[in-house]
Amino acid sequence: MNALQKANFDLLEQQFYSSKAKDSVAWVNQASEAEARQTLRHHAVAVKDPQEILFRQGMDEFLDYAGILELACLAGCLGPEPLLEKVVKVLDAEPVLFYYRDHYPLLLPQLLRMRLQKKWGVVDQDSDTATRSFHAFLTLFQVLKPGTPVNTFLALLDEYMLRNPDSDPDEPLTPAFTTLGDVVATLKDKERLSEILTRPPTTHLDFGIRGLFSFLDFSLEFQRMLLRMSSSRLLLSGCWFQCRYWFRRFQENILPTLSELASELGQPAQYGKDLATYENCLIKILDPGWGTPLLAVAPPGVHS
Amino acid sequence: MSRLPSMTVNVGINSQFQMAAKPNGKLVVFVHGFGGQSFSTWQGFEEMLPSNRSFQDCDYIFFGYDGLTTQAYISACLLRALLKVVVTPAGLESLLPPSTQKLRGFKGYNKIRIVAHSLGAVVTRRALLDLWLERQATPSLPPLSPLDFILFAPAHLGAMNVDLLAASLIESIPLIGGFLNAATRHKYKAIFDLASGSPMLTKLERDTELALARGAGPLVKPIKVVYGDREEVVIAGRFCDDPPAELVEGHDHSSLCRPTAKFGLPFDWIGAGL
Repeated sequence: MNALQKANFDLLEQQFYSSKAKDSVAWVNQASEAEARQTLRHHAVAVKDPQEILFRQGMDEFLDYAGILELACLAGCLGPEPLLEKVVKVLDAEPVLFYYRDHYPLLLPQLLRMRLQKKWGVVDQDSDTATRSFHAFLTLFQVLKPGTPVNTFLALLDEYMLRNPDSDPDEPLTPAFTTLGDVVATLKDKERLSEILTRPPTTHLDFGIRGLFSFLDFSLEFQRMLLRMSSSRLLLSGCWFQCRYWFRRFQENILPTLSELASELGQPAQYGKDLATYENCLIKILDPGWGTPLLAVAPPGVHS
Repeated sequence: MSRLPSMTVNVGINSQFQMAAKPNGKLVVFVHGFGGQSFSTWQGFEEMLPSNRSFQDCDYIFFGYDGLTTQAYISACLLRALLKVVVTPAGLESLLPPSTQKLRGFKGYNKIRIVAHSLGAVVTRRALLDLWLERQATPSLPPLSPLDFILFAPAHLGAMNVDLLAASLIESIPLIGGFLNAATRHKYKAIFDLASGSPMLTKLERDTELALARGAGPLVKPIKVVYGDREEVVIAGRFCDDPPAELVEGHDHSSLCRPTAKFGLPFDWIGAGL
């Protein structure tokens, strides 16, 4: 690994390997296989224990980080060098493998694992363009990072219930948890929505609502980026896989509410036009064709 | 030449530090306007800067702040806090991993240029004024790196009409703008600051005049002011001792700061003398 690649790796680690992800990795490394498998199960068996929820969130953040590393390799910014070994050790652990390959298939961590096993070594052809595209994607992806309003919204979109620190059992106006249902209800309550949007955010609900709107902006920017990146087809495809999950969840859980609101509230023409723009954008992003270039060259055995 | 992945700076909202692998000692700081975000205002810059020869080895910061629900003065304090870090020789380097510091071999900035749009002009002017005032009060503070600024469609004389400004939200943040009715949109604190003759703007003008009289120079006087001929959001005019503005045909309040393959002027303005 040359000096530039080392600097790239260290910067990516600093920016995308969250402390929660590190905690989950440390936990997986010391837990028994049975214990780890139980914690990282499919959610068909309900996950309610706060500690388990925390570990799973951390694991999701780790897998996001692994996805970024694979994209960096695809763009030629990193090589499969010893520094990446510490990542592959976790990706190799059976319970973790089940989690990202079988329960919730994520292509990029699987490819990274294969890359480190020398079963996959593809790099985008034009490395200068790919590097620029990768940096542009990272810049965009920053708004999804832990600690941002979008991240709060995505946690809610992923069915997490966020505990409200100020909740009081005797005070029904401050519920113990914020859920996606609260976001949807707020979208339908114009007065409440206006109140939230015109003051600085302080609660999970405030951040969730802000995050929703920021996610819509992210979608527009992401679509523009996909169109711009046409000369780095593999990287483009990889970036799409990195975000696909969220767009699917958004389409299933929020888009119908926004469409319903548009017709129910008899919104002004401008609103309808904007909503149509976002709807079209999401439909275009969800086209599975974006994933084809990478899937076409991916080694057999990957789950997508 | 090579560039590095961007880094989030924990000042403001989603402020991003974009680094050259071998920096040439020049930094461009972008400050968005009312209802904007660190990047969306500058659409075109972020994707085209790395391939533009004049900017290849520069560092850039896209400063983000809440240009809606936070008072402009508070945002100016945040920008000043960021500038205080970047004007020191250590800059943001101390936040970077050692391998990145070693690769960059950074020795401090020999030129910092701030580029601000709309409300961002008010935020920038206030931040620079206060930076200068701090140094007047405490001469022992380290000297500033050479610093200048360029203003795109500045709102330092206020908005043409706060109704228009509020309505412009529909364009800048489409879905939110559509959700809010006109009365609600006026609750945004930034709108209060941008009313012509607001306490914020009045004080800014008075302090700028005083600072100019005391020789504050480049910290209070932009090197360039640009408006589009289709400007209808802010009051176009000369502020204090600013240079006469340049007019660009065929552009409005927002398109002025969005370069395209056919509209490369913003690069020329920002790159001149950098």
